[in-house]
Amino acid sequence: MNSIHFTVTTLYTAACLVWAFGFVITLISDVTKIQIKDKFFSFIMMAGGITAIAGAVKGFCYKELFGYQIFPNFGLAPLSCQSDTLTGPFILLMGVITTTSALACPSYTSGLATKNERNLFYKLIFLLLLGTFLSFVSANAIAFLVCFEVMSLSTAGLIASDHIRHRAQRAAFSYITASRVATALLTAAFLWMQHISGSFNFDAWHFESSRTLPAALMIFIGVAIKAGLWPTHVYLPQSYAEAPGPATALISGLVSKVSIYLMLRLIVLGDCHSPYVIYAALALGLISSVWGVLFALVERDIKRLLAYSSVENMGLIMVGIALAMLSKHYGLPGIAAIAVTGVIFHTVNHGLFKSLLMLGAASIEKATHTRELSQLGGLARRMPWTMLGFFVGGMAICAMPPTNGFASKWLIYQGYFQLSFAQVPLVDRAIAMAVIGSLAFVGALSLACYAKAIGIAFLGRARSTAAKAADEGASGKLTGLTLAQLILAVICIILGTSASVCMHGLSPVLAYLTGSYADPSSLFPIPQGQLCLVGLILASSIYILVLGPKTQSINTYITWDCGYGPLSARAEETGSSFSHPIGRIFAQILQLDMVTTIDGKDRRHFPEQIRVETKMSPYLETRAYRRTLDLISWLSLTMTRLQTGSIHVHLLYVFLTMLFLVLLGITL
Amino acid sequence: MLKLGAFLVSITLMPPLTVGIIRKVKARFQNRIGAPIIQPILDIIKLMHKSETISKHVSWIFRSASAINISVLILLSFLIPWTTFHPLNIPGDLFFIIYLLALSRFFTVLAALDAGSAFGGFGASREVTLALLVEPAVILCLVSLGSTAGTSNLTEVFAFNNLALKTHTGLWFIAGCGLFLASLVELSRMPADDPTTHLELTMVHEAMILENSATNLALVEMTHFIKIVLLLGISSQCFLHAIPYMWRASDLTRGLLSVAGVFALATTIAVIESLSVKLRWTKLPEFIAYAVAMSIFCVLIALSRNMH
Repeated sequence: MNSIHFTVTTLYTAACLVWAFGFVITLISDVTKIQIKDKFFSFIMMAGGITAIAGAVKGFCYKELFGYQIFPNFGLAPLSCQSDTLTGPFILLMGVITTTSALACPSYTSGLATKNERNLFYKLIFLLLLGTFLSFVSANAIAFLVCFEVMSLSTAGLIASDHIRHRAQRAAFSYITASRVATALLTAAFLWMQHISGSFNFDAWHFESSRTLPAALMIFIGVAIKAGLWPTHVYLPQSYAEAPGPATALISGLVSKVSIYLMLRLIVLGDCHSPYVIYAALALGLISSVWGVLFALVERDIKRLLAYSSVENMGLIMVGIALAMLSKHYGLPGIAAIAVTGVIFHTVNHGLFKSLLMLGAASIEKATHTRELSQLGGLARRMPWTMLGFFVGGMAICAMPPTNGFASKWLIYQGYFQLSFAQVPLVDRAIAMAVIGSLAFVGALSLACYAKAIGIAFLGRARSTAAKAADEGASGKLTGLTLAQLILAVICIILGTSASVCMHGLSPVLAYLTGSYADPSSLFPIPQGQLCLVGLILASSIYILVLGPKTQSINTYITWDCGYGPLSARAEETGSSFSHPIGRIFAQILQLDMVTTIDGKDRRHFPEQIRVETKMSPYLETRAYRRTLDLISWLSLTMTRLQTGSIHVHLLYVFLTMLFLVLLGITL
Repeated sequence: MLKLGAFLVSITLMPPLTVGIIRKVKARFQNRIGAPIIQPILDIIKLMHKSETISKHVSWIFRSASAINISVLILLSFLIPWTTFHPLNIPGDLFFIIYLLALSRFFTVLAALDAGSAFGGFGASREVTLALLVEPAVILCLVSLGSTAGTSNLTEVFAFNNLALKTHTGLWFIAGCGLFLASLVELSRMPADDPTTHLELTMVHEAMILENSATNLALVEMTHFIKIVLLLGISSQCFLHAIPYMWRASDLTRGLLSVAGVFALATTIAVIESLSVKLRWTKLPEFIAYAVAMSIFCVLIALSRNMH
């Protein structure tokens, strides 16, 4: 073990120990009377995060595996850790998100009433961090499953923070159900692979032979559930909306990335070439991206909107992973390099801008006590910093140049574009074209979605007294929450303008995953940084030279009202009316229904009362899941008739079972 | 140097002149003499000298959006191959171009929502809806050209030196038709939107810029003029590439023809606007379906030509 390996190992261990220390402190505070300040916990979180960043940066360029065992044996396998180039970007992302969320955490906990509530929040956060970190570095299946469970359960705990409310209870239950199914599938797959390879170590697993197909499919479905791909995404909007703000930043930015990591680690690195997995990933990814953004667009709650947009982005990442597998399958290293770089870059980027947006939503919720878009409006003046952060985040998630979102989305586009004229069967080339068309469609939808989110929440006039009185706190100065957003916003822009440099940093990962030694910085030939600089100079000089001279003599007046006199804020466009034209086009999927009733004596010309009601019920929830649930409860009710409580009937059951077993024994 | 001069002159003069031509042709169709062709230039100069009024509800987005949008369009004029005489050789990647156009749309929509007027909201909502329907058509037309040429750099695709594309008269023609139909919608021209309407309720583009005035409005108008030239330019380039003669012609002829192509398409728009009516909002998806169908034909041709 050379010195760099030693340093990285020490730093990673230190990060874990720091978080574990925080966890112990919360326990001590629970049993004794000691009051711990929020800032102290926030500092511990941040210290761990920065240590993790240091470790990841130090170990970024080293390809070799290194690791160590904590326990000699932990049940079936040792609890061993390892770190390689693939974990690097994920740990780095984790460090950045943890550090920034740590800045934001006191803003939430200072509003909590009792010491116990506060301790519980930090306890769960520390468990979540430990679980996530160890999932990234665990070297074998058993260690992974244990850490994965710690992570899932602490997430469920965070979602249930506000457990008095019915909605939070439901959200926690659906999250637990989904993660239970995912863990069950992963466990089954891991046991299958252990049976084939004789080892629990991830390194020993290869998915080339057809015997591993069931395991690969089960891993994929488990990952899809955990990442929230269609059709299992239904728990995501509920759970993201209910978790406290800073925790949501961690959950959406980080926890969902663990499943992407698992997919890369096992399926891509394990050389899975099965067309079933590839096309399943492609199909589910595409459907999720369209479905997610469509529902995000019509959503009225800002956090649910962000959650649905997570579904879209997870779908995009999965589409990229499918391309990586497909091009490896056809032996096209160039395209595989583009796809893998795109996937990893987009995963990191999505973690960053989704945390940024989630913190923005937390800031709005804190200032106005509502998440309903129809109650917001005009926040740009009341909350300038939040506006700035949310604006950059929105630009990044819509893949607007020059942000990081564009660079990673461009790579996915470019990968499919090159597939469209590569030496592959016609079907795959046609699929590539179809994917490009759908990605363009998704891109335009997400532009509409975020234009709505920013435009309705921050611009225009306040639609409620709460929005009118919104306050970021600290009278215009930066608070922890706004500072966290600004840091993330700056990172998003820097990653975008220096995309080639960042991609150069990804070359070890690329070499590790695809075996190609191409320099990823050459994959992104657009001089985005330079053009952004030129554009910035151009825009600011036009602003100063052309618009500037008028700034002094500008008149302000009311918004144009057709001469009726000042209209109230109710005349403004609302979120639902903004998305209504698109909603009508997709009325079948969204189950959108509009009922207009006009009342009055002479209804046509002199209506006395006009009522318009729009209804929307998500297709899957009402059509598929609701019916399944109804079926299950009907079955359970019917089955109770079997249990009469009469000893005679039960004896009859025992006798019949015996008879059946005897017959079975005779025939076999 | 000559190239750069010609380029700079045409990017400053052609946008207002194109709009002037459209207005002149429409006026002649209505038996009017019409304003002189340079009237849009005079309008812009007039707007520059007026005093500016803005709504008291707007934020920093409102005024900066117009400065940002015109810079984006100026950048785009160097990236999009809308003429054959391009001075600087910046690679104009097709996805980058599409997303820069989307960036300017993003700012336009936000600026429209900024004043909190009902009309701005209507316009913004319709703009994003139309963009959503048109975007796949535009991208697929360009992608099928790029896929046939084997590069996503549009400067190379349109450079008249790519032999893979030389015989593809049909592909060029259909791509040109698809892009032209799509740009009618993107530019808020007649079947999609009536640029001369007086009723705010039916407008798309005009509703979004109701609150702009004076210099700010001048910038917005200029941005829109440049966008007209760029989008018409790229579809006229597609049509020109479909003509075998253009592949043999000299640089000067190509340059003159590409300028003439933009003006010819502008005249076509004027003719369409004089003869047709604005479609009902609910009928628009059917119109856009023609553009999408063209793009699907392009994709099919591109797929069949690259058979291995």
